[in-house]
Amino acid sequence: MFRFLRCFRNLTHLRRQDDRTRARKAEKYERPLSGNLQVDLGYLRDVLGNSEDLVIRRLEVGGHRVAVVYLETMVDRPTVQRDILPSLRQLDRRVKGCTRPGELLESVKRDLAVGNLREEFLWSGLLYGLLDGRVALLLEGCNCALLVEADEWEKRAVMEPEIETVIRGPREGFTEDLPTNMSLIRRRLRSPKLRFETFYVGRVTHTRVVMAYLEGLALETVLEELRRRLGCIDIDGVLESGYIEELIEDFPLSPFPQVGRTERPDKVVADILEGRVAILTDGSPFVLTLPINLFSQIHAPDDVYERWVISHGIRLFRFLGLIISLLLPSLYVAITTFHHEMIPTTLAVALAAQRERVPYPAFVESLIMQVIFEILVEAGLRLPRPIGQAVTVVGALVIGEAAVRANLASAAMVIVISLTAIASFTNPTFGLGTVLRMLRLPMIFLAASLGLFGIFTGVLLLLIHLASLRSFGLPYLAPVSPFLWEDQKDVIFRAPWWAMYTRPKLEGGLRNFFRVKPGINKAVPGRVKEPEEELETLTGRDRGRPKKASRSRGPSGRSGG
Amino acid sequence: MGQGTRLVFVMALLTLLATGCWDRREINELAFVSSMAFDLEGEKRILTAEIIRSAAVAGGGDAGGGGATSPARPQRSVVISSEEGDTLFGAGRWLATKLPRRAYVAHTAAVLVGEEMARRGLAEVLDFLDRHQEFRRSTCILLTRGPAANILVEAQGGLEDSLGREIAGLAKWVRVSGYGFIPNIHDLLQDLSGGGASTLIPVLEFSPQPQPPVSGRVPSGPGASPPTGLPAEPEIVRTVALDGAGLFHHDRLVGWLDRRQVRGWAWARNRVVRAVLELECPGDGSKLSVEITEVEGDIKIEAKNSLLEGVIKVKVEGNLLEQQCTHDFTTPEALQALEDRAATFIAAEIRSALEQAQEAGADVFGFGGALYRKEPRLWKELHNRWREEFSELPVTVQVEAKMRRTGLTSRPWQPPAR
Repeated sequence: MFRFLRCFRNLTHLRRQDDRTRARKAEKYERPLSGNLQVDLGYLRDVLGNSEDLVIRRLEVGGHRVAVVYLETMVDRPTVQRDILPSLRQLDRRVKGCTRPGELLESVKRDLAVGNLREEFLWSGLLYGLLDGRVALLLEGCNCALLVEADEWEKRAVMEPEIETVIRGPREGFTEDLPTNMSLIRRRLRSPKLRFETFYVGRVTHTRVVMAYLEGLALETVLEELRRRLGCIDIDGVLESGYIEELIEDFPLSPFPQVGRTERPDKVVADILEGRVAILTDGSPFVLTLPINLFSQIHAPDDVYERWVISHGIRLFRFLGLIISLLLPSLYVAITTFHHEMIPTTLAVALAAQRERVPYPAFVESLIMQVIFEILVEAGLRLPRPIGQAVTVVGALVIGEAAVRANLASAAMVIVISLTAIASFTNPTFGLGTVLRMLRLPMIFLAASLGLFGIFTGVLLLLIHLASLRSFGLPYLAPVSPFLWEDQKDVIFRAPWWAMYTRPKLEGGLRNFFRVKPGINKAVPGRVKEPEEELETLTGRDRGRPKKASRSRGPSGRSGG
Repeated sequence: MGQGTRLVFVMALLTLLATGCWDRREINELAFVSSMAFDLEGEKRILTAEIIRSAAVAGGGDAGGGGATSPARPQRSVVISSEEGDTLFGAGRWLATKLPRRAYVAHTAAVLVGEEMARRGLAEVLDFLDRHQEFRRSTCILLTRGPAANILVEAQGGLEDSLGREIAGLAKWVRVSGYGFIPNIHDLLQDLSGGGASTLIPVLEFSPQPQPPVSGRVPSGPGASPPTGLPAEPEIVRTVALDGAGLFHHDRLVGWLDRRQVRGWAWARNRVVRAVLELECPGDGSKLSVEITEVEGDIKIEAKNSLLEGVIKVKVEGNLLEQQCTHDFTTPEALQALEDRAATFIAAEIRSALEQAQEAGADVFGFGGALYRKEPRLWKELHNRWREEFSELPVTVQVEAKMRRTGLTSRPWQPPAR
């Protein structure tokens, strides 16, 4: 029963498989093409099982037999018909006298009017190229295939992310299409140092997974470790980035997410700029970012887009919301069953009066309400949208009015549970909020058995766990638990941009480039000059007067290592 | 996970379950005691508790349905429960035989001590209150003339729905009158442990008030109702009020102060927050009132050639807020005269309280403490016969009054001359 625990404790799924299984898997298609068109096409039909969408078009170019092979479900048919076939026809006229297949190959490579052209000598390359939506040209007598990029399939347009909404900020969200997602990142990060590294994960699905990072900024150790872990994944299919997240985590048994997820390209770019690595998975609009810490999950994109003074306050409220969502029901249970002296007299009497007809202890009462609420949330998520609204209305009535009327719960408990419910959705990344939602039940249990002592025991255990967590080697409570003074500027508070001199120390490595040039706030026009001087500049008078020494000085404070 | 680890894990989980929540008390299983009275009858201690009926408190489910018409007379939504025993705690436990809930005293707002008990000594009451983990030191304590249970049982609620809350409210707002204050157990313990070992506890009394008649329909039984349209007779309702205070030497009641004297004491001990002085106008016999807004009282003792002399220095500031006469108080001379009069008035109050205290031999002004701080050696010599020393202590009272403002108008309003 506990075997899987042992497996996870040793992280065996992240150990490199012994090479034999790997080799067996690989050698099946790691064979060169024969060069005989008839044989190769036969084998191809064999391998693909003469699938319905496999198209093999035989042509003759310059007296040589040529086959155009593609999967019509994966390619853009106009491209094939308008670009590839006509240019082959043209070629046919031009290379009439050409005799050797090698020469033909050269001229095809030279003259074919397409963008991306690749030579493949192995079956594996050819097969996966076809499956990626490329068009393959096979030439009689050549033991290689030319792969032409023409992939085109139905995809969703770039839309606003539904989960991570912002008040202010870009409205674009990732889609299921990997190239689109990559372009969304590249467009925001026009740096020659941006690197995309491709992996194929999944024995059967052969899903493309792309690592994106900034060369020279992302930690080399993290990159190395990530490459290793991605290489170790041996699974039949990857349908969502969640598969990968679960397979590369440091602590698979922890409820806390150790890899960030987001649908927002701007967020991913911000993470990459801070030295993190993004993992894009084909077929999933959720991009993973790592390494992360607890606090980065509580930050919303608005925090840095909105003016900083406001962000301070909003962020504090969000932290408060998290604490409420974890602790409020258990505090309520603990105080009403153990620590009655902590409530003001009037409230104590009022609570007692409300509970007068409730038959269950506060613990059971809170469990009932909690369960009802969780069921409602789940139902609201799963039901088709029009019905979902009805459920919400019914749920609000059930939880709010009827439960109190029926003496199943006291009004105060309804307030507590609904406040908790609302607070748990203040979390911008959803992942952490869900964790806290689930941790709430054990907390209530501890509160009901041991009172406030139990709650503090629970919180302590949680903190111990969090402090021991690592995300790709970086501590989970990072800028707080190994306390880094320089990084406090963007943890609980949000320093103004002109004071964010450095990137986060751990993620950005010790190569702490200046993020903002110190003193940039003073360089705002009008701040440098005395007011009357500025007026003179504007009116054009007194141009010859020597300027006063600029008042601007670099910040005297710590600007980070 | 090894066999041993697994075992330890399971055991740890089981211990959590084995606790069985032994301290768990649902909030609606508690009987909140709002106020208590301690009395002595012969050798029996009588403990009377006023327990809030939480079901009757607003918000506690409108189970009565049609019974929404409020009674004309303010009712306390409480249950009074009384029991006697040889000790206070013993008497308290007997209460358990009568209550379906657990008596919970952490929310007790006030404690009343009967005259008998006070004369015998507060020590046992203070010991009980201080020792029990549920009582708070911030609980108000008051004295009654006669048995305290009488007040607890017979008082009919005023604004609040329990006597405890009534007293808690009084404790907060009585200070604006200057006539009194309500000490809590902490104050009491501190006073009694100090040099003078004397204190003063205000007295709670009934104050019969006419209840305004309800006009129009009289809500009562159909048979008993007078003909419609006639207002009912006003009835007398016994609410409570603070009236004077008891003087304690050590923990025993030794004398009384009336209201004025309580204020006299309060000036000196800096317990006045606001006060109103009713002074005579110059010339005719009409009155004016001065509101005191700042008080700074100070008590000193001076030893000159082994002759002790107490000094009470009080500095007050106030505003003229009302006058029945038409005297012009805008001139400095007039104001000066007014200030003098106010000072004399206050000094008289202080002297009256001082005389009473000296007569009773209760050093409630804290001269003992002042001496101890100033001349510890002398105090060591004197403290055994300090009560006698205090009774004969000459005291000078110096009051300095300042009038700051005369309200929003400077001269009184007068009808225009015809």
